[in-house]
Order: sequence, then structure tokens, then C-alpha cells
Amino acid sequence: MDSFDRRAVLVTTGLAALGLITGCKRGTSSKVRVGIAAGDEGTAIKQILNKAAPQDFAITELPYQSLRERLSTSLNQDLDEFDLVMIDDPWFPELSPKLVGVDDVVTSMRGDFIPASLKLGMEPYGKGELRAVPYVGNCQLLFHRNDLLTAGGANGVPQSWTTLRQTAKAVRSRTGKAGYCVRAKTGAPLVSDFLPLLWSYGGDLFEDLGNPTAANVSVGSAPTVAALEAYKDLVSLSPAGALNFDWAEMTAAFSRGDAALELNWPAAIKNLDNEIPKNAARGRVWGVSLPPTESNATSMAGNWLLGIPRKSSNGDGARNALRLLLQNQREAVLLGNPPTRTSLFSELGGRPELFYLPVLGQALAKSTPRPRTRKWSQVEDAVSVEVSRFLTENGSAIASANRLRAEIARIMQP
Amino acid sequence: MRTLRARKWALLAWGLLGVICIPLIGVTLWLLADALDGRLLDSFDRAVSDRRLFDSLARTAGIATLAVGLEIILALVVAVRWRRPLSYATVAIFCAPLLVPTVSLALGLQLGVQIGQIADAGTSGAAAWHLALFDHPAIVFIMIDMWQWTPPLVLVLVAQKIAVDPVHIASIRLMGARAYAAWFTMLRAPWGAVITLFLCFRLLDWFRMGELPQILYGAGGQGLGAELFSVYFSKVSYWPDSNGYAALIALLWSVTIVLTVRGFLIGRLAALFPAERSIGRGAE
Repeated sequence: MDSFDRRAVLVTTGLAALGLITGCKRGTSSKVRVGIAAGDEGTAIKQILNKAAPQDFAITELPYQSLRERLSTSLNQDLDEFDLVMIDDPWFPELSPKLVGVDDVVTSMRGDFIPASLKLGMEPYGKGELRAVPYVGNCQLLFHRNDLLTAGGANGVPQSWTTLRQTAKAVRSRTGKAGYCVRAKTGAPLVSDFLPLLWSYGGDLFEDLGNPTAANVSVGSAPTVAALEAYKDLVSLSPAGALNFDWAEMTAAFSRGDAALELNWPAAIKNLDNEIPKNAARGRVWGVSLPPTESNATSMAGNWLLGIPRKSSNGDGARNALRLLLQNQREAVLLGNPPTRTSLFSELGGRPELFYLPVLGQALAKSTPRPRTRKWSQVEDAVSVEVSRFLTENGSAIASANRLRAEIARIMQP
Repeated sequence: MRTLRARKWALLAWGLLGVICIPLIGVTLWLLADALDGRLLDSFDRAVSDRRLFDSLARTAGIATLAVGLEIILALVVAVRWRRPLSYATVAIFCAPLLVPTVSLALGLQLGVQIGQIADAGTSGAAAWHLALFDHPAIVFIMIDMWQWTPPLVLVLVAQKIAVDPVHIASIRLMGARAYAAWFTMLRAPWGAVITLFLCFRLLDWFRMGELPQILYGAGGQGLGAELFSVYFSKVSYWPDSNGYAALIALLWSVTIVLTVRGFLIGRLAALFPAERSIGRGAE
């Protein structure tokens, strides 16, 4: 009895394991394996693929940071794990050597893409082979609460950072609410909140963002100092605890009416439109406009790209899926994803629920990407450390700027 | 029969050791690849001169020592003063903090911050003190760790205290000892063993804890105040061309831990658990 039981358990376990292995293999071998980011941008892609042929796709949905780590491991170690992947554009320089060219997929619609978006998927930047197709045209916008601006006595939406700071101070003194809201949690949030200021003041991390090297580090000059001081001022105008705010907290503060102004991404628009009550007479009490400027008018690009890993064993299936997604990009826009093609901006820009598209189109056309280096994660970390130190310690902006310059130069050493 | 059983146990033990060693084998392979590429010495140079690495280690060690030390002191005070039997409700309440996953805990704290903001807005900022508290990662980490780990430690210590036979206490007191001395005599060994293990495991755990600081403070927080060793290590692991360096840190760290803990665990625990008191041997 004893030995029979053992044998039965062994055989059953063996068969179950075999079934699991063969079942998994059969279940996914013919499917296109798609890696997407959890959230609205990925959801739209999932819905389009599932609507077309759910049996043809095996979709893996991962949170932002997990997707970043998974792609870094999977692609850099040449694993055949995905056939089509979503890539945030700052990750592209690191992953591009592991992606195949997709020029043939976009041939007929190449001229329709916003040039600033299309460049993000090229290797080398802006002039080489297209290795990823820009699919979600994210870029930062200035979000403003008109009700608070009016209560604060503001004369329209501020066009420059100097005016914005004055307006934010006026809002705070007259309404008791925060005039601005930073997104200062260390890491990518802080850097994507600070860089637009640096660019706006005429500075940059490198002289040539398409070819950043140790020799052309440009951070550390007067614009960096001005941007650091302006950002510290903005932190003081933000709600309590904003030094640890990420996207959710910042968006919630705006939604509740605790902050009048902030830089945010289009992904917030859908939520805010649902959450902020409309005024019976004037409709929306909030809006979006181009980010403020000092000497340089720009916005931060944060497009989601779609690429096919070099080691994909189902490249044809991935190409077809990519074509399918591009053919249905209109649907993705209606689901809330910002477009990357001029024709979609023109066609859908007049819809009341897509009120933000005209401004977004302008911002995207003038958008600036983060430097195109495979060492971006290290550079980003260095920026985060120095800006965060400047915000929380009593050092001078010049000292922070100089330390940052030295650190980036060290990181960029070949 | 006994030999066969011993062989089975030995096989199981070696199998477990093999499983435990898989990550170390992976690390060693990375290092070998680096050595073949001639980059191993560069990694050593980098490790020796990486100030952020040493800062993160020192920061983690400092916060961990304070947190675990305070937990032990607090748990001892509560356990010494505990007079009641342990009810089901008490056990459930004391175990509850351990049942909360770290991610939920961190997200809950974030939600707490949001609620706090609403409270602040309603009281014109009068409730902002708790948000200012978040600007000090070390305090936040210590408070969270104490909340999570002090109650279970109290539970174990109290359970051991309750298990002491009053007859033994009475007999020691008959020999002229004071009450506290009698309790001390009876509890020194079991409490010592538990606290030693707790100290060892919790201190080591602080060097692995990644989720909580990353969710609460992102990639470092307040300068680098929240950059614990695990946070820095996870960053390094995903930086391009850093796999070999990350593997070297992992190996050096593992070796350091083994060398440090070896004497502590084998020496101190062996003394606390003498062979004649081994589990399951009493009846033979």
C-alpha cells in the first residue's frame, strides 16, 4: 500500500509536470507574445489586440518599473521571451541594439508621424534606422485650475516660469491653497519634473542630446543654477509633503483643488475629467496648456514606442500585430492614448472630449527627449541625487550644479 | 535502517544546499565572464572606491541597529511586565502586523499621507506634522519596522515566559533567590536564543529590504537618506555594463555575511542549544 501510494504520487506528479510543460508550450508557441505597461496606455493596446483576435496574442502586463527591469534582462541577455514590446522612450538607447528594424512596417505612413516622435525610435537618434514605432505621443503639459487662478487674481495662464511663480504665490496668499505642485519623489519622477525647467531656462545636460559624451556635458552653467533655484521655489509653493509626491499624489492634489498648477502627463486627463466637477455655466474649471518658458519653449517627450526584439521567434507575427495596432491607432486615441500621427491630431482634434489634442499636438512637435544614451539610468540617478540634495540640504545651487557636472562626466567616461 | 535514514537526510541536506547555492553559482559565472573579458580588476577598483556603496551599507547598518535594538528593548520590557495568559485575541492582534505585505503597508502609508493632506487642507495645515515626519526616512523606517516586528517578538517571549513551570520558580526561590533572579535563571537561555536569532535574521533582513524604501521614497529619497544597501544594489544591477560589478558586490557581501555570522551563529547558538537538548532526542 505504502509503495503503491508513492508510485501513484510520483506518476501523477510526473504526468502533471509533463502536461504543464507541453500545455504551456502549445498554448503560447503560435501566439504573439506582447509585453505592455500596466495602465491606460497599455490597456488601450491590450483592448485593440484582444478585440481583433484574442487567441493570437499572449499579453504580459507589467508595472512600469517591472517592465523596465524585465526588458533590460530579457533583451540584454538575448532571451526569446517577447515578440513585441512597449518601450518608454528613455529606455530606447539601451535596448535599441537588441531590436530589429521596422522601417518596412511604417513605409506608407512614415510622413504622417510627428517628426519629434519618429526620431525617438531611430538609431542613431533622428537619422538612423527605425527600430521602434512611436505609438503613444505623451509629452508634458501645464495643467491649471482656472477656479484657483481666478480666485488668486491671475490674469490668464502663466506663460513663463517667472510669471508662474508670482501667480502661485498670489494663489497661495489669497486662497490658502498651494499655487503649484511638484513631483519630487526621487528617481525618474523628480528628474522628469526638473528637466523641463532646465530646458526652459536654456540649459541642458549635454550639448548634443543625440550624441551625449563626457566631453559635451553642458550642465553646471548659469541656466542650471537658475533652474535649481526656481525649482526649490516651486517646492516651497507646493502642498506639504510634496517632496515625496509621485504622479498619483500630485494628480490627486490637483484633482482635489489643493494645487493650482502643475506639469503633468496626458494620462492624467481622463481621471481629472471624471473627478473634477464641472461648473454649470462655464464647464471645465481646469485646462491644459503649453509648459511655461523662459528662453526656450519646449515640453518633455515621454512617448511609448513599440519594438520587436531581435531574438523574437515570431517576428512575422509581431510585424502583423504592429501593423494592426497602427491601423487601429485611432481607437487607441479614443481610449485616451495621445496620438503620434498628424492625421489623427487633425481628424480628432475637434472632438469635445479630446479637447487637449490641439495643445498636445503643438507640445509634441516642440518636445525634447531625454538624452539618447544607454547610460541614461545612471545619468538620471545622478540628476536625482543632486537635485534632491539641493532641495533638502543647505548647499548652494552652484555647488550642486558643479557636482552634477562632474558626476555626469564621470558616468559618461567610456 | 538508521544508516539509510541518515543517507536520505544527507541527500536532502545536500539538495537544499544546492538550491541555496544556485544564485551564488550565477554570480560566480558572471564574475568568470568578467574575468575572461579582463574587467574583474576594474570591478574590484570600482568596489573599493564606490563611496555610495559604503554609505548605503553604513546607513543600512545604522538604521537596522537602531530599529532592531529598540524592538528588542521594548519587547523585553513588555514581556517582563506581562502577567496575563495569552488569549486568542491577543495572539491575533500581535500577529496582525506580520500579515500585512510590505507593498500593502507602503501603499497604505501613502494613502495615509493623502488622507493627511485632506486633513491639512481642512485645518489650514495644522495637521502637517506627520507629513514633515516623512521628510526623515530613517525615523519612518524605524517606526515601521518596530510596528511590524515588536509585537511578534513580544508574543514569542511571553509564550516562553508562560511556559515556565511555576514549581521551578518556587523551588529556586526556596533556595533564597529573589523573584526576578529566579525568572532570570529560567528565561535566560530561551530568551537569549530567541533574541539572538531575531537579532541575526532582522539585521540581515535590513540589507535585503527593497520594496518599502523604493515605494515610499523612490530612488533614494531626501538626498540619499533612504538609499539603503538594497536600493543602491538594485540600481547598480540594472545599470548598463554593471552586471559584473553587481555580481562582485553580491559575492563580497555573501562572503562577508558568512564570515561574520559563522562565529556568531555556530558559536553562540551551539552554546544555547547544547546537543543533549536537541529536539526529538529526549524520549530515546
